[in-house]
Amino acid sequence: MKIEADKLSKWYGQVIGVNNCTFTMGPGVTGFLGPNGAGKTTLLRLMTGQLKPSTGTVTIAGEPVWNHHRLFESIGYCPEADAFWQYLSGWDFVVSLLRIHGYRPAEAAERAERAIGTVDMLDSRDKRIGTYSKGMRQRIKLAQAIAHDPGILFLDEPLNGMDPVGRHKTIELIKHMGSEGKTVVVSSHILHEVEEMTDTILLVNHGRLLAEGNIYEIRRLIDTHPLQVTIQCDEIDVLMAHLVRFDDVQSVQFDRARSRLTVETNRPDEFYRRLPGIVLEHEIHVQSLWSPDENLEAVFDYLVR
Amino acid sequence: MAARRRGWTDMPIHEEAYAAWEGTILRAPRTWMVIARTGVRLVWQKKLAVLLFIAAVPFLFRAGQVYFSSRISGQSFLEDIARSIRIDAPFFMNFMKYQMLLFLIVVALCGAGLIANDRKYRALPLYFSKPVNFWDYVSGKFLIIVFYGGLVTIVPALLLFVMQLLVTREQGFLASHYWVPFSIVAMGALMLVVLGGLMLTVSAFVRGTRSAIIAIFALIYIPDLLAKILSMSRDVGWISITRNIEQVAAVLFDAGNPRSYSPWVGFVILAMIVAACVGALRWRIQPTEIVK
Amino acid sequence: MSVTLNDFTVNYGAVTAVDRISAAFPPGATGLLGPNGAGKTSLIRGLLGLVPTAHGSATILGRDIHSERKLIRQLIGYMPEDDSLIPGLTGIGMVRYAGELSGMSGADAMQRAHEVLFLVGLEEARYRTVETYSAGMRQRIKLAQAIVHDPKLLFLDEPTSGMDPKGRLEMLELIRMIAGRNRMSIILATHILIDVERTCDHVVIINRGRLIKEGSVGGIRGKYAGTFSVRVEGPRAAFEEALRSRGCKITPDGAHRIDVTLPDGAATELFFEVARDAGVQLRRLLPSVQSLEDAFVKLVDEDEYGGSPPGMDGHADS
Repeated sequence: MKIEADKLSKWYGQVIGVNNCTFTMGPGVTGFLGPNGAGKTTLLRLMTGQLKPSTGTVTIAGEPVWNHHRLFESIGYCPEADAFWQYLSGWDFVVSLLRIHGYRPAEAAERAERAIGTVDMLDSRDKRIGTYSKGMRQRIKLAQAIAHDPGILFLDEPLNGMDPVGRHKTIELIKHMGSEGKTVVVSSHILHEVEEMTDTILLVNHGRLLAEGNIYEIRRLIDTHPLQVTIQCDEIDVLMAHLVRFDDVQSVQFDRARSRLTVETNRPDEFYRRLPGIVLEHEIHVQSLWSPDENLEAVFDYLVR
Repeated sequence: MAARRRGWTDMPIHEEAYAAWEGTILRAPRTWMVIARTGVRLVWQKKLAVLLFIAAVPFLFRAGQVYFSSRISGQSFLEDIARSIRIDAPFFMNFMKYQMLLFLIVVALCGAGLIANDRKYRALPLYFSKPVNFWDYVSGKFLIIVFYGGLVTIVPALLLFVMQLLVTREQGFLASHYWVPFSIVAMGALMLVVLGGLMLTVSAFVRGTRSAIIAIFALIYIPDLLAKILSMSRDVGWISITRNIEQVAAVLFDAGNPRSYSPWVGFVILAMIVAACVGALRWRIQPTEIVK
Repeated sequence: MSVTLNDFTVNYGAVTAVDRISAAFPPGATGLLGPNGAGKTSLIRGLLGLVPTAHGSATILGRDIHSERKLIRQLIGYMPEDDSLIPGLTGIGMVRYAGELSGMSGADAMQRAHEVLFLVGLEEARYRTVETYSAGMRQRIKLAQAIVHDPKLLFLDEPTSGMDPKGRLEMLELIRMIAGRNRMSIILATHILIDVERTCDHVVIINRGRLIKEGSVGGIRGKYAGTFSVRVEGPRAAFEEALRSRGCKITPDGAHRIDVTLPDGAATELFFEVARDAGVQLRRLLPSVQSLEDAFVKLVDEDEYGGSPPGMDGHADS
């Protein structure tokens, strides 16, 4: 199922929350990123039908989201806030939401059991939510979001407050749902973890869309900004001498202590194409090769000003 | 970043980095003083100036009485009134007694949020990770109440006494009333310890400033009202905190016993209230909340 | 040693939160790791004397935590996990107050409060009351109040929680800067292990109140074992086929990367040869070292299930 937004805007009085956003999100995991106050929550609320767009449309599988109750069956939403239904047990919480979705008691119980099992909460399902730790609340919220087996999932900071083991398992679960063909939208501030889940991102700031798609593609489009490439090898002097002969190489940084070379090139394709030849011809033993610019943090840092 | 310039090697380089602090730290700082001082300053900035102004009105009225009683002579009807105002020990006691409501308002306004807000904003771990223990914390907070509460009770009462000394024509007034200032301080201290302590305790148990104010007035005036209603049949003044204070104060000012039972009853009940407050604070003010 | 623990035990009523831990935290930056409920926060609270010690002893900066508690609290700084503020004060007022409570004179505290507020990036907000601060600003002011008196040891409990990516990087940069010249030791308790990799040299891992591992970050992550993380651009299928035909083992890692294990005796030249022949751009070639997170998850699993890795179920969070 696809989520499509077309010239989507939302303002509150004179304050603009989302400004003229057009994008598409398809099956698989999409990292939904932006600084605090960028308009992520407003966009999530628009996409989940909790807010009515001021102008423009947002559709899921071609149907407008606002005021379209049947569509909610195919949406799962895990909100960031966790001050909810403190006096219910985790079990009652999940079951009653399933009942609201229209499942009969027997099936609701069966689905709740499965969802709570998926997030490892069966041991604590009968305790009140008020007594849960932050990580447990996150997991019961996640169970609630997946219990009715929706095709689209919106997860707002799902890893927040989880411990490393919980994070690890939740990341695996999210990746798994993405590979099953569900459309999973995950917002997070910890870019390193987003990178573990997916290469596809949607980046917003100041209510505007900054970038969407694959981070390598996005990096490629930032062509005004030269690409850095770091090479760790045994003969950095020799390698440098051969690299600087080409005029796409703008600068070279030398790190003798770690036997490393960082090159800045403004035509990465040519650079990478020529590199194997140089390395093999001069018998340079390369230990590692990577680009410090080709990661989510660098892309985020470059685009979010 | 570093402003490195050639030829200026002996110039210090000011990097925008973490700089160590070269000063010395005081051993065993009096943290309760720091808490009290900061609290007094904070309350002052908030709202209390106007209130203290209002609190001065009864004082000015009493001051008028003191002056009047010593100056009028000759004109017969005024002289009668003047003679009816007797400036004696109970005069000072009554002044403080009638300040009670104002005192409570001041205590409530400056004291209600003292602990409630710290708990609301989870400030206690910040305090208790510094060289502050339970007694430092509570006595610091209590001193804030002492400062403002004292300003509307002990201070004006002592001023009235000094004024009386200055204007009186009564021979030997000082010789016969030298103990009155001590009674003023003792009664003020009693009010502060009991009502201030109760205020702090209430503040530690409720969530917001407003509920703390409502709770303290309810705790004090509901038993008071009850005592008044029940007094038709029997004297149950001991259930009212203010009546107990008044009873003990009457002993301090040598003004007879207003109740039908021993003043020790009132005193013991007040002592029990204070002990209960300390115990409750001890239990409630933990450096960390164990249940999240 | 910045902290030593000897049979250190903390109880909450009948629950043992920290169970006879003996360990030593070296000077420098140390990560304190553990799953939820492992006892990290209890250990810190016990060390600071915020909760009583049930058994055993501990020293901070060589001083006994029971007999010299007040002095220790003057020598350390603590940034709690809770969203803590001292209400009613301005930013500058709160940090100054913290300095005075730690034993600085009023003038010193005032001067130093301005300095640390600049350092944490709150210079523009310092005259506003702290209740109006955003989540990120609250984290910064909590750090400022913890370092105003220039402590010798700083306890940080989840210092980046609630911060956005830029805020997080700035906070980590600050922590590195403060720890940088080895004047101040740091104990960092967090769930975000990448933050630990970036700031700490040493880690102490606890689970269910017990010590399960202590050592250097590098030592715990382990050594590279012949596997590389590779990414290419261009005709990837041909590249992978050629690698396989030369005896490499390939496992996909997400949509764009593959993990490649070289056959015995082969060196990285093989990748360049295959890339040249297949006409692909070799964009990434990194020896796979397990991340601290992988190492951590393994250690905790071993501790709880005696080595047999469990599935999704079976792990209880409490």
